[in-house]
Amino acid sequence: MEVMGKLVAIKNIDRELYRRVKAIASLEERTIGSIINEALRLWLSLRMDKMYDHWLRIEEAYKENYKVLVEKYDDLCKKCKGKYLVICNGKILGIFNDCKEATLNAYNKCSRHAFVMKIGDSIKEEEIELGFPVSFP
Amino acid sequence: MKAYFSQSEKPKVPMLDVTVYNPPLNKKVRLNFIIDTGFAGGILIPLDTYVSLNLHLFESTKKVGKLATGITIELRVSKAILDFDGIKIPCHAYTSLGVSKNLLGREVLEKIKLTCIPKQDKMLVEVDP
Repeated sequence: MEVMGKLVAIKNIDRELYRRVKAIASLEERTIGSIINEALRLWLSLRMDKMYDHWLRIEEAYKENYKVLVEKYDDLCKKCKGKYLVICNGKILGIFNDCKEATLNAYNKCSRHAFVMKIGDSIKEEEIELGFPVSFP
Repeated sequence: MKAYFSQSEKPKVPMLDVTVYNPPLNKKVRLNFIIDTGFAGGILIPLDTYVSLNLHLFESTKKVGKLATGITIELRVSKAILDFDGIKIPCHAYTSLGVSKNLLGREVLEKIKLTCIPKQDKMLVEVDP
């Protein structure tokens, strides 16, 4: 990014995204600058949450555990469908017959993040409808 | 458990006061939820409440929350248990950065009987074992 007085040049902007923003900005009689400012304010406001550090720590452990989940899940679905899987600290903690046993083990042995999942349930990132009012700071 | 209309906002808001437990039932918190028929999930809670119940230790894979405007946000998902005067109902608990209100959605509403008569400020809730 280069800053020249009031001008800021930004590399690697998605051209298609920029084209769409420009078209909508024109319809709303707004400048691209005002839209970029709004987007930056929203991005920052989410990170001003007092829990952002917690979110990052959970997220780091989530990624480590997710990698294991994706690697092993198909195989587990073939062998242990219907049982409960616990993953934490980047490895499989155990496979349990019931949910309560699985959650107790996760509670006692995990700290940063854990997956407790019924083997066979979808692991895809699905959409869920959120109503209003969800408010941001 | 208490169902009521909150007069703190106009128009008044249907609310449900419920205790939320983590899955091993060793942590709990009593929360006031806005009843939100536009939310398809169980409960949506702020991240600090989610972490205080240790719900990050019982997660499933993340979901994408879609607002009525089409904007999407990343949601963490965990298991939780709601206590309606001794009757426990499992549900999914969701959170994200910036969430500041507690919502109770259709995943829970379809498991209870709820009668709202806003004109008379009356709300009745029944939960079968």
